Amino acid sequence: MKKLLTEWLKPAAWGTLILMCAMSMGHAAENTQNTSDVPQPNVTAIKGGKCVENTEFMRKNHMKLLMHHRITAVHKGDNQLADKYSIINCVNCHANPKDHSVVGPGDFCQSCHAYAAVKITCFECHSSKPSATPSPFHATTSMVGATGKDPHATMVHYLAYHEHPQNLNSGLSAKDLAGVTQ
Amino acid sequence: MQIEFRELDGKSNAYYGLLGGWVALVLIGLFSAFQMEHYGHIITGMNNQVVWGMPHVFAVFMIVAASGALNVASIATVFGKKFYKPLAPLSALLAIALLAGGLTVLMLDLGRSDRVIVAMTHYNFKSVFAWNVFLYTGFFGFAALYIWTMMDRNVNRFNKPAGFGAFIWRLMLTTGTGSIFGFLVARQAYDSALLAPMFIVMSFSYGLAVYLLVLMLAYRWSKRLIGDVVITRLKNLLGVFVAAVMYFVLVYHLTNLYFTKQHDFERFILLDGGIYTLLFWGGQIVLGSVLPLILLYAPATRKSVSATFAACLLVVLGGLAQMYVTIIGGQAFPLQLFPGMVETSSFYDGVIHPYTPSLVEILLGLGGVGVVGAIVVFAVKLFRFLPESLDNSVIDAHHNVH
Amino acid sequence: MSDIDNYRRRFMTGVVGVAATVSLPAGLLFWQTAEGKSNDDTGLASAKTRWGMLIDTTKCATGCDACVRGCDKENGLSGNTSPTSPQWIRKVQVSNPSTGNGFSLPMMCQHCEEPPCVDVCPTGASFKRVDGIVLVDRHICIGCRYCMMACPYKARSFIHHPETDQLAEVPRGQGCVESCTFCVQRIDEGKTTTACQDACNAEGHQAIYFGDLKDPNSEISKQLAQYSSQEVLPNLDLHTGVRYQGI
Repeated sequence: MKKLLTEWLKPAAWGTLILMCAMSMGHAAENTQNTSDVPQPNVTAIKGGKCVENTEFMRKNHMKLLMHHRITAVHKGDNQLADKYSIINCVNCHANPKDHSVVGPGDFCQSCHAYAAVKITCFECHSSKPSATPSPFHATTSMVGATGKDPHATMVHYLAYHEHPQNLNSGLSAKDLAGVTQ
Repeated sequence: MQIEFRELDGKSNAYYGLLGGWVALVLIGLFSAFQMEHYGHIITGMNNQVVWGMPHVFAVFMIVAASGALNVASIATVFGKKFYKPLAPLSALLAIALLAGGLTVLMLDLGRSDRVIVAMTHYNFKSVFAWNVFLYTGFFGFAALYIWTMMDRNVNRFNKPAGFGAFIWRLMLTTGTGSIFGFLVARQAYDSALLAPMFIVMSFSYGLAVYLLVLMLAYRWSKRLIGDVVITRLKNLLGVFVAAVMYFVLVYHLTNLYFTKQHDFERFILLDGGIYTLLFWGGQIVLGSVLPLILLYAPATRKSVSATFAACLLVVLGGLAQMYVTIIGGQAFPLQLFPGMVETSSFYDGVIHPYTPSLVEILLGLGGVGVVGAIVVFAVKLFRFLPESLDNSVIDAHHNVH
Repeated sequence: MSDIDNYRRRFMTGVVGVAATVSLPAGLLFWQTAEGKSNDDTGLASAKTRWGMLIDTTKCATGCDACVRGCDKENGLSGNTSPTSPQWIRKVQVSNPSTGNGFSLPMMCQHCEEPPCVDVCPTGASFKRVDGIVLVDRHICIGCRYCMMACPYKARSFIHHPETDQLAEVPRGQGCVESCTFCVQRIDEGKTTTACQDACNAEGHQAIYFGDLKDPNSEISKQLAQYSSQEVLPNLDLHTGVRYQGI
């Protein structure tokens, strides 16, 4: 048993200690984000004006809308082009005219995801380029969307579907919106 | 005289060399998996015709052997044979290690192994695969519980129920593994309830062969004593299992030979299937069954420890050959859309599907073997899995057998 | 019993306990959401429809692969025919070795009523929509290829390398399994023809009918009522959505 202590547990304990130190330093660094010398993402939204929802809402919830759309589109047969929350319509609006993409360096999706260090796996399968067929939906002309849903109906549907009511608008602050240019 | 269990000292360079070797093999396997992840399965020999390849040969072998490795412990606990009691802890350890190795390979071969967690969060309860996810997890749990009741005197009174549970569970597990193939109505090689019991008997044979190999090597390398009483007992049992596998193989092929619609497939495996015919007769039957039986029972070799060692090695190789013939041979033979008709298409209908394993998939499979080795070598140093001595005098004094 | 033994036991108990408490409810939770719920919104797939296809092999021309090219174009497939290339639809030439008689037909996912691929899929990624279309949800496909082992029609392909330049309407990517979708992107947009059917008609063969099997007035239902047709491998009793005349 003594052997166990000296040969395995001690190194393991040291390793844990070092890891915890590193993590607490990372945590400390996180707390300094309100200061101005921390770089912010430089996001260019391409199409001006309002998105399908307001910017704060989209920043916080776009992944939930996409998750919802993913289920309705694949399993329920929702029209991909007409659903204003569909990934096709995201790309159609937000693709950078220079490279016709949302995932090149500095493009809409990539700039923020690179900043947040969150891998975007969507475009391993989905096209990152605008669709060839023009979409019947246009965000700036039709705020209600082609399917006739009011702005929060889909979210209500989403909540009912997933049965996990959440306060979707909570927790946003000015720092969440820093760096957004339209 | 009480049989004492003791950890390996494990301070020699040879020990660290051995552990390092296994870990290196694991790293090579992980590197291969990363390559497959990055470039896609295009760098393997697998294609849209032969969809399961070399990784599955290794993985299924290890998963089948895992449940078989637990048998030595089951004989001790479930069937109350005291003789096997000192052999039980290693048996349960090996079961866990083999299953871990097999599952590692299986998971790393997935097209989207980054999403393997989905297999834990989304279940289709009609899928044999999904049942197996539960069976694998439960097997780890039962084997671990079993080891605990063996090693800790406080809970030793639960040894019997734990062993019983593990035994029942291992039978279910191998039934599940066999049914992955047995429940496939589409393919002529599978589509048979016989595969489930056949896989169980195969597991007895493969698992015991691996167990004997590990036992002999562990005692030789740790310079502990192991007497011929133990080895003779186990190798006689192995011989019975090898013969039983042959029996099942015989029945499987006889059934097919009796059904006219299966004649083409049987001709492919038994006569003109090229590598599959060679591996069936040369690998599975001659090297993996007949030769081991001769080595285990022939008067000239039956008392030789090296002959037993060689027989175990051959059973393992024969098992891999059997897996190759079963898994890959079964897919190489084309599906019949219109029985009795000749079919041709751009999607290779009606022709034997070629398959050549690439280096990455072989290395991935060997990486799984590395996982087994690393777990065993590490664990026998950490815990008291191995009796200090299995010499004849110790065994005799303890059990009064002969 | 040393302190270390005690410590070790507590640690192991803790680890196992935490693992069990985390994994069990999580599994149940996701299972529940994966079940899905019925939806009566208009514009969505409906159980009142069953999409099906009828192929008249007497009109299907040997050597013609217009349907295959039409499918490749619609769905963004390369059209390569290497052993690792996906092929959603293929032309199969069938001949009887004892009589010499033969015919040609397109073979693709048969959209079974009881699909073996759906039965075997461990995650439920392989699924049948309420309107009878058998699909792969690529978001939860882990690439195990068990469905490819189970499909009696060899209808499924695995994507062996990273894909680029996918069509917006047809997402496809490395490591997942795919097959004919009955051009589901068209159906969801309200169209009622498939690309292979359009291509066949454009060639003037008109060997492919596509429509709602549950609607007695659809062209396909009328054809099926009037002429005898058969599914491939009828002994499997899978009630395929694709039927053939003249086989």
